Amino acid sequence: MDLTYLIVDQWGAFVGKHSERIQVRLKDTLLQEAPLLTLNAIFITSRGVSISADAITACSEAGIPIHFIRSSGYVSASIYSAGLVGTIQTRRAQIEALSDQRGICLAKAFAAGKIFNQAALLRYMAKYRKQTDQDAFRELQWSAGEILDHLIELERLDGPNIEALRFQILSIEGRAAEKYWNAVRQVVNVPPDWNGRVGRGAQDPFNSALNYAYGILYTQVERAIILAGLDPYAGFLHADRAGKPSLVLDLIEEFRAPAADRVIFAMANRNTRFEQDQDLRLTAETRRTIAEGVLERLEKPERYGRKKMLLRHIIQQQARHMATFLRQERDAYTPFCVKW
Amino acid sequence: MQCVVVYDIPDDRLRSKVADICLDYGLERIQYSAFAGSLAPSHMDELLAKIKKRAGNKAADVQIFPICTTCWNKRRQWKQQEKTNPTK
Repeated sequence: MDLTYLIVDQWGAFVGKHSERIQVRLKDTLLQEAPLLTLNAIFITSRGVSISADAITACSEAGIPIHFIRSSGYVSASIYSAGLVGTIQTRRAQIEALSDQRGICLAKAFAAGKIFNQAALLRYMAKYRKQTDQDAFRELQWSAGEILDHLIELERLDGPNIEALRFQILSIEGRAAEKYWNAVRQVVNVPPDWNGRVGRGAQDPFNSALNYAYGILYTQVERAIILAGLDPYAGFLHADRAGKPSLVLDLIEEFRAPAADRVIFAMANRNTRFEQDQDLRLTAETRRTIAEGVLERLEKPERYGRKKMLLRHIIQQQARHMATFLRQERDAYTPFCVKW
Repeated sequence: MQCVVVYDIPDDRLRSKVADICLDYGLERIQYSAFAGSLAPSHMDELLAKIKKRAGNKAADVQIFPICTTCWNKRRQWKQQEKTNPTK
């Protein structure tokens, strides 16, 4: 059965429940409708949207999260069932792991997954240039190799707990990322005056598009973490800070390249325009295209272990593996590595 | 599995409620009293049970036909809206 997502991006829209369906109405016209049975998530991406209490209750009982996303890709709020947080054993283990080897193992795995998948995406893009553009093919393969070299450096790190190693891991990750974005500049149709990757507060369309795609991915990772019984605010690679969901930022690392970057690069190379309004925010239409692109990508199968699985299910599996590893029911945590 | 749900229900209120229930299961309305769409076997039973509960002691005749993919792909259809005379 195909699961659906509702993206509500109309000013003045009303989200309500009728029978066992969620309906989006504007005045008296029905804009969209989805049965609770096949609904996966609701994204509210516009201002001026209202939602009924009945719809919220029905969604949380059916395990459907409602995400409120700003135009920058920042997730302002997510509504889940209140009962999902009753998994104290996992939480205890998660907090304890911060001071022993488990924390290091996870932080290293997240960084390794990110680096590996960045290299994999470059190799994936190289594959299609083997015939058409020999130079680009060699260049990409070489960059991918250079990025992978950082894995050895990462492997060698050793210390008593994650606090001692955090800075070094972030430094390795940063250097790999620099090479990655330099290689991306050469094969992705980025604006000629693109000044490199900027995260929060980016003003240019390409970075804003990436940030928005990460925002959509973020909601999926956060959901997986909450469903696995973990606390999204206690991370390993990312340091604790009030209001910073570090664990989400940790787990998202291994999925950025395969789930978000790949979608945005493909869009850029197909000459999709990332349009901005006068305040340098992405237009509603662009945001919708990006959101649909990422959500569609999550419905694609990827190789996972010996099986093929939807990317969406892989995210969930990784969160569960992390929880079992923290509770010491599993010996190791291996990051998700895409096959190119 | 692809399914066709058809029903014959004289009572107006019950009929519209049954249509609502069909929509809840993600079925698509193909005619006034006929729906089609993908249903898991357990959902077929659930759908029927819900309709049965809703019907109480009112008259109703509901049928669900599962159709295999090959057969479904062989279906034919023809449809048109009433053509209005443009010179009028």
